[in-house]
Amino acid sequence: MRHLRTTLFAALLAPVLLAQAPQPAVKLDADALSGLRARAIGPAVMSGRISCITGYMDKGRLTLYVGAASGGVWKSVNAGTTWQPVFDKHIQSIGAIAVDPSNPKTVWVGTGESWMRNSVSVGDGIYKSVDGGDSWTRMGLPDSEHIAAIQVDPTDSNVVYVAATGHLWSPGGDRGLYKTTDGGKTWKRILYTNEDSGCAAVAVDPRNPKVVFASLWQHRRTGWSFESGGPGSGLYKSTDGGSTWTRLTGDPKTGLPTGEVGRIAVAIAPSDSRQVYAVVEAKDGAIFHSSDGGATWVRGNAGPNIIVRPFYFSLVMVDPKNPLRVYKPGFEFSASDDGGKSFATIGGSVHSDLHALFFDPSDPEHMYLGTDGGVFVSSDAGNTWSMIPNLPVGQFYHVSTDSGRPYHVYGGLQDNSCWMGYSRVYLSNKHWKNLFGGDGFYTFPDPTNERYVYAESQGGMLARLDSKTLQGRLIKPEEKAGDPKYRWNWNTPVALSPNEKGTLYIGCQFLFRSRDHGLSWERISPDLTTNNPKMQNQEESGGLTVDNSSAETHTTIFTISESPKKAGVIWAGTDDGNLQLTRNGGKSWENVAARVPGLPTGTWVSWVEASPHDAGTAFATFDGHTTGDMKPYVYVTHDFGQTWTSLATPDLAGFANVVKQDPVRPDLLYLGTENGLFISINGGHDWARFKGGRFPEVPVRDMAFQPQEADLVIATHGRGLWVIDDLTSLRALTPEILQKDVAFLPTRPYVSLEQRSDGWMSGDSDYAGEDAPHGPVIAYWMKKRHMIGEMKIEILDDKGQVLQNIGASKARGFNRLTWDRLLRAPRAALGANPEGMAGSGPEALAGTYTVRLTKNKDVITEPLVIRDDPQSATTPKEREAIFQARMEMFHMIEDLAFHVEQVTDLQAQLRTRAASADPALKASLTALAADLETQRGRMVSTREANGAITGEERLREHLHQLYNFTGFQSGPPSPNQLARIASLRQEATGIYQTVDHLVAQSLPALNAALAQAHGQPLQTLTRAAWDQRTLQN
Amino acid sequence: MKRVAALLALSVVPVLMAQAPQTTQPTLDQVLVKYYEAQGGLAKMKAVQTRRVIAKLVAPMDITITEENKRPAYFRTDVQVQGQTQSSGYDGKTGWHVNPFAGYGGSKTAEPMTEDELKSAQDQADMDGSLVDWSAKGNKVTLVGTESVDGAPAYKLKVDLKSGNSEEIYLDTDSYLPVKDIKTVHVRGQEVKQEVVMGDYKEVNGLMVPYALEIGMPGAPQRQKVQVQKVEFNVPMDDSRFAMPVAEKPAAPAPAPQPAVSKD
Repeated sequence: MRHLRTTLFAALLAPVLLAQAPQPAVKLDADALSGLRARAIGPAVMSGRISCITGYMDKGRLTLYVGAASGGVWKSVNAGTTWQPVFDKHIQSIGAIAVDPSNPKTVWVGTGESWMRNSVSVGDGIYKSVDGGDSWTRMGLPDSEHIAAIQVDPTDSNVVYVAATGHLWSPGGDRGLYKTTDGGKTWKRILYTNEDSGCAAVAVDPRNPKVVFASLWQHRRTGWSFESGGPGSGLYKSTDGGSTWTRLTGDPKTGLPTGEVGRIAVAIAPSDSRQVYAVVEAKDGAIFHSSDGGATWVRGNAGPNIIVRPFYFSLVMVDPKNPLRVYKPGFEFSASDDGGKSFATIGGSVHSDLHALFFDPSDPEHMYLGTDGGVFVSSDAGNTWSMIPNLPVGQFYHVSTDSGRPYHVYGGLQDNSCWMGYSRVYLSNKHWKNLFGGDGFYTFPDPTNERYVYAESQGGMLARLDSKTLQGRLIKPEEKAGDPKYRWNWNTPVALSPNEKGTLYIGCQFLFRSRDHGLSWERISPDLTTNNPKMQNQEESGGLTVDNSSAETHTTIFTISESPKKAGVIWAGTDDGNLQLTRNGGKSWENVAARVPGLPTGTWVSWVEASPHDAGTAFATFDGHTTGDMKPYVYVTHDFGQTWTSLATPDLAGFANVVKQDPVRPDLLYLGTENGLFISINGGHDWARFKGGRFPEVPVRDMAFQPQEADLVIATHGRGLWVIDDLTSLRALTPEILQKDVAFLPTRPYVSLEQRSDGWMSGDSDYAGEDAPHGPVIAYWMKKRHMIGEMKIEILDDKGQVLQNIGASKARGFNRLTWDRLLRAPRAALGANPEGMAGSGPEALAGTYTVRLTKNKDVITEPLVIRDDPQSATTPKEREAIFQARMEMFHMIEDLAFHVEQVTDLQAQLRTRAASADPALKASLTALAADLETQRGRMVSTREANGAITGEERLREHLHQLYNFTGFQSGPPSPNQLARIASLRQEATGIYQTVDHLVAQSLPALNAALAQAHGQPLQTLTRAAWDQRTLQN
Repeated sequence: MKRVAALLALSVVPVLMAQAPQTTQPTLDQVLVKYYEAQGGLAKMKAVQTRRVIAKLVAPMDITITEENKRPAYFRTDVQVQGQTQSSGYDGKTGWHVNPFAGYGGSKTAEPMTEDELKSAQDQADMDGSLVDWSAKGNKVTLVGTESVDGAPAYKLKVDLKSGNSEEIYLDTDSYLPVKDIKTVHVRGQEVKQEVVMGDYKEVNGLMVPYALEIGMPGAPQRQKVQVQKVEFNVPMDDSRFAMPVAEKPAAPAPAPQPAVSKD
């Protein structure tokens, strides 16, 4: 017993001691880092794979839930016009969603998509929300990995069936049909055959919920093969809520296939429970129709779109009102009006590969279709479709940038081609350009001429394209006489040499190099893989349904990286676990995989990255998930791969996809896993999950540094691209800073960008990514959240005058906020109606300003630099001229405001005095008030609009207009504008003189009369008094 | 035996490690008691009969907001821009607003609130907030747990209001002062969420009042900052200030019904 306790203590203490010894006490944690915001730039134009759709009708309004393959759960409360992600704090791979028919605020989400392609992600169980998706509780089945369907008993909210497809890559885990009778507190497995089979479908009879159909599916994927079908598969029926089951397939009396079966879809007609349909994968696979509740079945259509790719399309849906109308989403969209005997393929322009279908409960011809490229809506039963344009769930594999301003981003997506778009300003769907086709992978500009772009689709299909015309050529290396067949990975690696501009590498089992833009290739390696023939039988892959799409091609090179510090040092990692290094440009190679400690042999090298700081240093991630090993493996070597150190810590979650070392600060690391992004500021000693800007727990597959802007662009596989603007502050975040109560962090100098987006009002469904802040950014670190007392940030000019108070951000940890670069707005004249054209101040000129942070008694300052847009044609002198012109108008606007106030103030006095004056005096007082009113009417609009357009333009309106319109220009004031300013000044002066004259003429006499009558004298408002009343700070 | 011990050790370690940093979660009542204390105490809170808060938007334009509350259930808000005032109010029965900025030329005639707006007005008229005497008011409060708000932990309280709206209140776990409030209101049958982040607390007559507010939609990149200029308790306010104004005469010089600019 003593021994046990000692061991326990030792085990407990060891990691703690190790962790604490070399490091200061403060650790960068995810919450403190979350003030470093990432912004989602979409795109939504191509959307991404949708795995499930459901919804409900309440008071005539349709609420929808969409589950994305690895992009979370999206909710629409307006039938699909606008969408909100509601599952961002949880795993993003979604298999099934169900709304409780008795209480639609209760929603169930099964994580882990069940469309079991090679790139499918992994879930971690079932979740429940009782508040319509605002918050979620994990309810169990944590080791299910994939969930295909959820059915809630329509008569009892506590009874829920969950079809757990189970592990794809390994046996065991939570798999089979599960049932809860206590709202998810406990689960009972009620249908199961073996450790290789899971549940692929469940259908509960809405009229008699004791009747349940379910299918089990035996299946297994490896890195190099897929097997669908086996003795564990079958279609089952229960009439007692799952206590006992009858196997329907294999029984000759039923009419269903008697031999081996694979994945089976099943659906009960909502309008007639006797009508049941099943699409059965078998040697003689087809759709089967039962008209007697599943006792006997008639074999129906077996056309290509009915039996196509069951692992991907095992879905059949029955029209809610017509029990003989059956839909079969598959590669295409097929519909039958005769109970499955004949099918017509319908549908116009819709993305192929269909996984989900939802009928509007009020109109079954109004339907929502989930595809590999987003959600489409039809109002004519599938004949024509429109796309939902605002679901940014793209599954990027890779991302790159160019050197433009704003720079472009490039990337390839699962089943959605290769695209280029902008990193800022131009962020709506129309600004994205489709470059190529197929599934998209590596896409990047040619550094020798960025107009030309390399773009790649599956299996190494590489092209070089003109990004302006989209013309180009395929440049994939082809076998020469006598060569073995080249084996190209689904996601074939392509890499640029950091040492020879324009030199390109691509790998099959061999590594190739091109120095002429891919026109010719030189083989610079032997077969770098294990060349294991057992992993090369793709033509036999698929099981009952052969499936060889290049997705299983194995024993290939998967990742390539040349050292930027030493030409000829090239790393290549393979999908079968070899990590190869050449130090002489390919003349000789060494496999160093066996030197990596704690790594199972043969583990897929998911990423290798030569250090940008040191020739002998490299980072590598390994991914064992295709063998069922979900652990993160991340390592570093400093001696050309001779020894490796693990950088994996308990901070991490999800298997590792990509690691990058910061190009400026060597101990700043970025790690993308299947479960999110992690950042280390101490060389991987510990990690903080990145969640800034609500960055979700989404697979991260690649990252690109943009050196001019110091940005990081993140390629997520499920939520599109994200940008962390300006890493300068993060690079400065040292352990010493973490200890400080408050400290500024440096930011990049602000260089203005004189470009405006060209959007228009195109409805609420219009999508645009989040833009970068327009203005200089101020960053600082705070050890604690500021709660008590004043905290503010002010901008000061070079004379120490406060230009603006911009408030403050008060978070614990990282803080960033933007000054919009605007000076104070002018005080504007008051008229009968508001006039908003002078609502903002002039833009501050380029130069150095001071930021002053006040936190109770602590005051710290630092300089803030603004630079002009180097792309602008306007000279500094011209900028100064327009600034001065606008400041002149600024003062004219304030002068006018003062004079109007002076007049109305005096008018008020005159009216007050008149009320108690004798008739003669009253007449004089009223006469002056009326004269002044005439002048006021020259200065501002005086007619109440009350909803109408009075079109009353006076001096105020003209002045504000000119001030406003000159705010759009960076060029100098034109002669026309200068003349207009002069004429407005003349007009103003004329009015002010008239007012002064009127007052000077009348006031002494009136005050004398008032004095006689013991009345208060009239006083004109002085500028000093007005300033004191209206100027703050 | 040795092997068993080692195995046991391995299986126990992650559990212990996972539990170590968690402290025991207080009960709702414990949190509320601390919350009242942090504010200055229930007695002082309830002694306030009227409250006026004057604030300015952190914006290039000069925009002043005046918010007035009076027991039992009166409130009025005036937003002043360029001498024009957008107002809304509630006198316990009738809710109204005047919007001179609407449409082309706006209107200075008071319009009645919609049914949904009226519900929110009822919530806003509750001077002590939804947590004080929540049960008696017909609200339902649950302590959901601890969540991070702007990098630091906060207790999350969910309030289902009697009006049918709901509110999430986040209390800083150090000071027990509110740091964030998300209101879910209804607009034409649709739920709309508004988030307010609070800070810069200062003591006014023994009560802690936030002097910095940030208002926005949850998760949105930008929040509108508001700085409180002045807080007054127990200044006399006539009930008529909260009643729906009768149509004003057009063309009269803009009246100044409330202090547009504080002269302190």
